[in-house]
Amino acid sequence: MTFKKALSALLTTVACGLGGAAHADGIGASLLTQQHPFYIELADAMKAQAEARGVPLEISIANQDLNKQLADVEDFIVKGVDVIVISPVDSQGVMAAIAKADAAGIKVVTVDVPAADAKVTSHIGTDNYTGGVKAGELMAEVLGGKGKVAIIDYPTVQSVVARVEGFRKALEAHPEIEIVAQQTGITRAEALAVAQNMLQANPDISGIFGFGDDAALAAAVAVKSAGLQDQVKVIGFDGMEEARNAVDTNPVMAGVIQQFPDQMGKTAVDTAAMVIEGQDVPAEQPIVPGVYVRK
Amino acid sequence: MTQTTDTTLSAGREQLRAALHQYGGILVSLILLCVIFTVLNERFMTVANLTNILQQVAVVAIAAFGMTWVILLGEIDLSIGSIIAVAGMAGAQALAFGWGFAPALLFTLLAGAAMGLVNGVLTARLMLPSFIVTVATMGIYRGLVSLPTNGAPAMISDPAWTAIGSDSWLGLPIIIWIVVALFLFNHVLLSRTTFGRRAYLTGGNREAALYSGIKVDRLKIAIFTLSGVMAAVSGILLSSRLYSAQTNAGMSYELDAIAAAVLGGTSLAGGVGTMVGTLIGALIIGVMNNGMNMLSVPYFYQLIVKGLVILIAVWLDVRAKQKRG
Repeated sequence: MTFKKALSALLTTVACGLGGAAHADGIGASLLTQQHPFYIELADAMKAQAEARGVPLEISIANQDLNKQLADVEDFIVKGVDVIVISPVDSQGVMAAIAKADAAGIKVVTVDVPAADAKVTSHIGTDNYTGGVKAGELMAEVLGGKGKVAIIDYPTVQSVVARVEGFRKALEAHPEIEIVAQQTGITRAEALAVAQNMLQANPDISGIFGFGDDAALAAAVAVKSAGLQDQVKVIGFDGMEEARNAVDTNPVMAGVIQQFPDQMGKTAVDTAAMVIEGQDVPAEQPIVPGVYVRK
Repeated sequence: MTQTTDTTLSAGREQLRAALHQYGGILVSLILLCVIFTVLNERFMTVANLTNILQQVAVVAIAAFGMTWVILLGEIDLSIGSIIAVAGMAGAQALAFGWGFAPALLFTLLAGAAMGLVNGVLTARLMLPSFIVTVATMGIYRGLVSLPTNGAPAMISDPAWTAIGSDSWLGLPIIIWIVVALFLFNHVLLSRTTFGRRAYLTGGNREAALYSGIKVDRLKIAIFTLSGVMAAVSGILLSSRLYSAQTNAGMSYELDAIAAAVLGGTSLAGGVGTMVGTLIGALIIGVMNNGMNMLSVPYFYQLIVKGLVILIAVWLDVRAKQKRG
């Protein structure tokens, strides 16, 4: 009896304490991961903007698992949120989640990674191609218009493919720059091995472009351990704090293309809030990345 | 007449009491969780959300049915998550080759059976510990899944395949019918057939099983194969829910399947366990995931709470069993 009483008392207390958390209106956001500085900044910016606008916001983390992302979106639908923001785990696989939201009459905004084969109300993402062009232009400038360049890529991710395309396009204007190698290195450890191999195979490389911060930072380590720090310059993409610090302190890191997750998060919440108010929003909202070099 | 009714009644009551004895601890945990979530969010106890939970739990529940067999034998199958991914990819590739729905389905199930068979043969015939065998095949299968597409996901547009994950029959999602059917199949096979009794006996006492003439090796191979087929069904459901085969699909789902089985009272030492318990265990995991989402619990806290609830539920169960002696 006392146990039952204690339990019901406990439940009531918890219910009163947490009752406010169970609201159902506003924005439901399903983010890819919370273990990457890019997404931490994105989520922080979303929370800050939601608070500033007074829009309720709930964030679920898919932990890179498409099945979890679908379950999170289903739960948002049952809760009855007004609009769903998704940063897809996979461009194509996210179709199922978008179709479910669509069937429930809930509008979807994608952020960072676009959805293939599915219409969403708006997409907010880095203009990766332009970022790639900027990286190529920076590389040409750093190398003085000539030299041999290697690329570390991630060919199954569309945003990275666009970066590399832009990078190659920019270098076409510089006939004396030759791209001698392009290999895949997804994690920092893989990128390190790939960069070492490329430097072994082509000891006269003078520039390396890493598709992301991890690839670039790994390449910088490989350059140093090969004793080539006076010869090789590395350019990265993403521009999180660690890479910006490396650009400031490590002469091998010539620069990094900087994405703006804070702008993306803010724009995503603004867009979602406008959708709730019934306003029209642009279908594509590219965020042009910046170039970060040593001050 | 009255006599027989009385006996059936008391037999039924007896069964009910036995069931409460067996599942009391774990059932209390499930009901307690449901009560807490219902009190905290009025949308939790709705038909829409309950079907939602059942759909979300299907993939893990079916894999856990297979895992229960393996654990019953005192073995373990860590390759289940990878088999789920390979199955989805096998189906996607077969459909892409234009084989059509039924052949692709059969091919996928056979692929699952083959992968399970390999686990079983390596464990039983080469006398290797299943833990090591399936750690190795976990890696091998996870590598295999990436070969056809070089790591990229494969889209599935076959209407019949995707209907499994999104359509309903008699008002219930097909995916739930499949869980119910496979639950009944495994439950009857385990509790009502010689095959099931052999599994219990072998898991409880391998020597005794050998002396009583059970071909333990064959039984082991059959059970690993069954586990592979169950994982393949999970892979089919997952890929149909996602309209695509992901190369990282099912990553670490083997741990959820083990948790469901052990929550449900399956002993890692072998010889003890039921499908009813495993189903309840899987439901606890599903209810927790969904309920915490409904309450907007931040993700990292969800991980912590999930771990704690598993610990408490198993402790409650163990304590209840100790009390009974």
